[in-house]
Amino acid sequence: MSRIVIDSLQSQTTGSFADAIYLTKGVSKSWINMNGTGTIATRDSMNVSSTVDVGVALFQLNFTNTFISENYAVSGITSSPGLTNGYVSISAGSPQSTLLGVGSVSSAGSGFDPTQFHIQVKGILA
Amino acid sequence: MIKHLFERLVDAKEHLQPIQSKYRVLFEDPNDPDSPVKILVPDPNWLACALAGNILPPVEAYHEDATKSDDEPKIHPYVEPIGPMTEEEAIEYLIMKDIPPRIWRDYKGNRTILKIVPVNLISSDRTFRNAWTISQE
Repeated sequence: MSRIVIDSLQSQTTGSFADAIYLTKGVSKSWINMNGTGTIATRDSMNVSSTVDVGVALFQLNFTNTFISENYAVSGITSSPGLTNGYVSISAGSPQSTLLGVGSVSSAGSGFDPTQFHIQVKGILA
Repeated sequence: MIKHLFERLVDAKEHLQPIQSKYRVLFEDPNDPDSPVKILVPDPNWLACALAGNILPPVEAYHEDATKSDDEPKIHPYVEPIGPMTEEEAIEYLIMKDIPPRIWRDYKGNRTILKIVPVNLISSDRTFRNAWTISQE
């Protein structure tokens, strides 16, 4: 394996630069694109060992490489045909360093099973 | 030198095709008897890693890490990875990793609270999803 060791990257054109730590600390450490209807199924993912269908509109992601603590950041979007503005909520008892419980909520505030359920997690891995 | 687990996952993502499991794991939590059955779905990318081998840590590493508090150093990203598993072995590994031990190890009641089933036995009609339980027949 080859490895480039650097402290920062700088644009030749603009001169703007970013410390290399932004690349190692700033990227998503876990993400998933999932169908939450029917028999739930993952379309694609990274650093997820399993998903759990907890009940209507409730899901759990288990991480393969866990986080160093529960202090990571979650963002996500959720939708179904005919429904817009679905958002992701954090379930009770979550987040934990090993798992994330999430719900799919419509703009009206009710839970729904989404055809499109997208989550990404940024934070520091164990 | 052993690569960090996340590096191994990134390599795997580049080289392995995801594998959809033919199994699901149904489980109920004795601490939460009013909740519907939960259904664990193996992640396709994770299953590809499990079947390929030399990527995932032994499940005991997760158990040891579970005894540590947040911010304490964990061992599972750094220990020697294990070899290839069969799909059935991978499901057992996942049960021990992602389902609480009070369900797969400590439960002494008569009710069946854990079951591995073929995916085609799971209904795709979720109309009464919050009333689903494991059949005791």
